[in-house]
Amino acid sequence: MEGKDWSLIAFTLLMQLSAGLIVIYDLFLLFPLFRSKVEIPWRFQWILLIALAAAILGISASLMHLGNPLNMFKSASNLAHSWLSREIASVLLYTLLLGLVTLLHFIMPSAGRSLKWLVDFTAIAGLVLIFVMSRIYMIPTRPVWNSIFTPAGFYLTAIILGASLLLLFQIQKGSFASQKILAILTFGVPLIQLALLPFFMSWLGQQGSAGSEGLHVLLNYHLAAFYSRLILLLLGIGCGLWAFLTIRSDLTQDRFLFIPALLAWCFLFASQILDRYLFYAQNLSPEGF
Amino acid sequence: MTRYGFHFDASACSGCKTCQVACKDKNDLPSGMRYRRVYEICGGDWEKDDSGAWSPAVTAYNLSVACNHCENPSCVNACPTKAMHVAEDGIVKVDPAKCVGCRYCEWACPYGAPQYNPEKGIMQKCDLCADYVAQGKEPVCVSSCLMRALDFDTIEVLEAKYGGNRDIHPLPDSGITKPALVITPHPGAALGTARKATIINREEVKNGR
Repeated sequence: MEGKDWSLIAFTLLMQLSAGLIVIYDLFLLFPLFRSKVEIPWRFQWILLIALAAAILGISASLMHLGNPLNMFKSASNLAHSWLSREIASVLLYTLLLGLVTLLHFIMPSAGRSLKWLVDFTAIAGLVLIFVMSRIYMIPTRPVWNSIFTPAGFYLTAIILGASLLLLFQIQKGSFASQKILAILTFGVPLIQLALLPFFMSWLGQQGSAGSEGLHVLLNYHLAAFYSRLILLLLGIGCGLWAFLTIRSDLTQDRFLFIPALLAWCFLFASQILDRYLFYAQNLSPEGF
Repeated sequence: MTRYGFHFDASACSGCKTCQVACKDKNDLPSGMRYRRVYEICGGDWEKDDSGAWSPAVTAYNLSVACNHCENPSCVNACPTKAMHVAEDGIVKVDPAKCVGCRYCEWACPYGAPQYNPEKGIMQKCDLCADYVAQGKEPVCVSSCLMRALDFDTIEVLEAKYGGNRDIHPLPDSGITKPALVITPHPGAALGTARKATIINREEVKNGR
């Protein structure tokens, strides 16, 4: 784990938060059941703005990882072979689409329904981006990263961050069904992440010297971060469950949802930061070359 | 295309690290950067023989590793700007005008060859002392080796002189990137896997000056 890896932690988390937010909201727009009882015009505008801000901040953070950012414009010139080039192209495509959707929703707020296809495209671009991001790390020279756990982890993080933030947006006059589903995602998806951990550690133990070193990194060098992440994840799950139990069908209960939803978001975001920190701490080559 | 490469005789290497120092000196590398690194490989345990006596069964040898200018270089495939490229002379080089300093080549290379220069913000690596080779001289690591454990020539000549072996424990399988490297193994290397031999100077290589 090197200092510059913090910029990668910020980049991957913010891009996944942004994509998660758009993908889940886009899915909600598909089903009338999840639409809000009272349509609040600014709700989607704010979601778009936050997703765009996260993407722009993420891109800015990624530049800090580069030793020579002046050459960044050449970074998408090896699309045929390099997953990093493909990631940069995906990031640009996603952010441009998101920027366009946001701009159009501010210029023509009443044309929201007719722009649904563009939101669909942006959400698909977001899903592709998360996949391409994960493929960067799936290389034979990094055995700890080179598994299905990497894309699974990235998608789970996107859902956790997106759903728990979206729950905050559904507090005011959100539909009962959307609040329930988002609260279930807020405590359910972190539970899946938690359940995958023993499988990951068991798999790690079978991956030769790099796997053993990976376990050593988790359970010795970064034990405090490992346990802190678990505690934060459990607190996030607890608050998500609290939010779920708070949700009632009548709107007067909405204000009681704010505190558990906010706490769940904070705990889960912090747990994902530590999760990604531990991911980069396991940047280990086979045999240590 | 001519493909130059190295021969490394693990049975001759004493681990003196003169090659590493000569390379660092010739290329004027800053602290922490080494195009050539000497790894100390060690493994084994006490073993009980048929008579019931315990004796040490250990394996210890050195590996001097630089860029192997692979036929299928994973660093070149990984590079997003095409700064890492195979030049016309078959040498894998970095174009500093294109390098963005993302360090992805460093992750992709199984030999740890590309090195990040924090002062310049770009990747740098062994270029087989291309300036020396152009003058008909050997790379400095080869000419400085006290034990004559390193040799340099076209890969065809090296294979004719030393055979075609390119593998030694614990280097990655040569089938991955097809390195331009011929190896004469140390006699103990055959037992390297069984004795779980591993790099014992990892900290020195990673954090050494």
